[in-house]
Amino acid sequence: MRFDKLANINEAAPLISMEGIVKTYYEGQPEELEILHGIDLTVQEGEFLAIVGESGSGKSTLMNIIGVLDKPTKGLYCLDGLDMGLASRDAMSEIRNRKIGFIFQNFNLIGRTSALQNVELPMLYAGEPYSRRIRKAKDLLESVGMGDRIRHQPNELSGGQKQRVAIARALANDPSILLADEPTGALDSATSRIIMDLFHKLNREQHKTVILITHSKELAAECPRIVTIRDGYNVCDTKGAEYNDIS
Amino acid sequence: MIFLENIRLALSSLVANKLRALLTMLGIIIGISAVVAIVTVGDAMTGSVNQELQAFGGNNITVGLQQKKQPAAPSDGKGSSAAGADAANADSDDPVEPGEADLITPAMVGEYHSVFASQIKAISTSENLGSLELSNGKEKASVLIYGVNADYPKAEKLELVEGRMPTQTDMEESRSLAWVDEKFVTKYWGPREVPKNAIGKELNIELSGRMAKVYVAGVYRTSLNGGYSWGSEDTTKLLLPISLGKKLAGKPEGFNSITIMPATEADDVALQVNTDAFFSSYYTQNRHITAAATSNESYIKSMNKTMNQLKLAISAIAAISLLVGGIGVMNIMMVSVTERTREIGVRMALGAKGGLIRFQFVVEAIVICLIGGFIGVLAGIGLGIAGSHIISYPVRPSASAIVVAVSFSAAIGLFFGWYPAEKAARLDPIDALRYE
Repeated sequence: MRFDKLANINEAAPLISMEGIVKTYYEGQPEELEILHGIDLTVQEGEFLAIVGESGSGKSTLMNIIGVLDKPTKGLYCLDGLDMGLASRDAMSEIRNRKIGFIFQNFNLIGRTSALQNVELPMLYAGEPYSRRIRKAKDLLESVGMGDRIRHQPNELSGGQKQRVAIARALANDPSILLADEPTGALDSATSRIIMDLFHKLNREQHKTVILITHSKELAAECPRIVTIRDGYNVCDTKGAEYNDIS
Repeated sequence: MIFLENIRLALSSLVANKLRALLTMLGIIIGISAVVAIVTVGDAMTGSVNQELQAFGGNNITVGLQQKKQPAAPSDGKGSSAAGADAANADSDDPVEPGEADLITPAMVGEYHSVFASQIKAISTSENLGSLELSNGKEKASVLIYGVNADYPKAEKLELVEGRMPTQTDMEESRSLAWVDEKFVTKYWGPREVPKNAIGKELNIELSGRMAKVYVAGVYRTSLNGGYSWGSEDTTKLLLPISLGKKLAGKPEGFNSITIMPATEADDVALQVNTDAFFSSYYTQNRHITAAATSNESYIKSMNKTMNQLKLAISAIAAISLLVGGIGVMNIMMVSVTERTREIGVRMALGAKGGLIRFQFVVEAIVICLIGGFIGVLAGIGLGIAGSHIISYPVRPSASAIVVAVSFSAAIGLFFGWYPAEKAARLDPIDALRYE
């Protein structure tokens, strides 16, 4: 893998290590806009944390950087000991493919493509052979309770079902991090519960690192760790139990 | 693997927008079918013209007598151009008919034959001896009487139906024999008469006031399929040995023209030049008349050249249609990329590299063009075959034209699909994911 060649490989490093992350848009132009003003964040493997913030707080920008969709303007971001600031566009694609499992608010399944093929997709991009892809995709769909709907296309599934397929897809390449952006934002409360329980189960049973980005305080409250972002600064980093008291 | 996956994706997106895909393909379909149809019909036209000219004696060389071009009239010293022009006009207004002394003699022909024996298949000599209406009391049939030599049937591509063809001995002995067209048999002896029964029958002919009896030695059929005919359907040629014919008609021994059929392996053009030189050498001392060799070969060549230029010109117009079609494909690919911006963002988030996204859209454009190309080829073959049947010279559609057309349509897909695909590949995943 190309990103193995990147610098700062350190076995003992935490999963995510961010120091003084600054993100500036329209750099050098009159409308220059600094969104993140120096975020520090360390996440160990197997953690379940929520990143909370009002809209406009910069949490989406932070999520993009954590998810290797974007690079910080200043500061150091190491994922699994690799310096993301040095990664090329193609290397970033590869890292997203192997290390990040995205779950979106609006599911973002590929249309006219079955649940099975959606789950296969990250493995296809990783160059996995067909038979292994199919087997793994079936297993994953089974594990999220969608084993009987593998041939269904997204438009034949309910919101909760779509999100479960999306979670299966996020797990396809055994990523280091499940990065969920408002995963229950488009779901009713009962379905939200199922999805949140699924995250808890994945974290508890498979020790998956889950990062939940949300503006909902109730949702954040059930996470063991909560990082609050306001106006581009991280204002507090609390354990779930303390969170209710602060807010 | 990814390649097959991309073809599947391209097909499913085409199926999802059937009408749009069809409209996009239309330009390609029209362009490709036009090219294939034009090439096929062009081949049919060239073939049909060549066939007719070949039947007519396509590569035969004709040696004929013609008036010599007069050198400019001797000037009186002043060199007046007006006087020179007058003299030239005076000459061309005063054609000189070849006299008996100017004719091509059998000796020349014999000499020619011995010099060029290896390059020629046949030397046909014939003489029109006049027309005649034969009557047997019940039926009438008009004929053109021709004196011919033994090579005449070969050069004129006559087929033997019954009896035998003229031989050298028939010529030498001036035998009282005749060869008739199969149409003449039914016309003269009634519709139920078979050619076989005509052999040996007696015909009374009259030439230049002299009566003669000849016996039918053979019945022939002309292999010209309607392309060329020498008169009405009813008038057929009655062939006599040339020696007999000339004797009866009181004609001199020489010929106004002879027809030379080159051997298959001979270089027709060189033979024509040499033949021309050979015969004109006999006329260097002749003041007015010379012999010249002409051939249809050059005519056929220029005909083919014109035909090819015509094909090229029409193909250029068809190429414009392909260009327009290609732009249509590009347009629809731009729309498709915009429509699927979000999908592209998701694919990138899942780890698709830019190159892979580009590949996906290029494959989609090529698939559209190839399907259009295949439909176009089928339509073109249909039109071409229909067209070639109208010309009544059925040809098989040119395989090379089909291969070129299909690869050209793939190339159009690649060329016009590249830019939209590149645009997709360069999308920023964050913007693409956020796209509404």
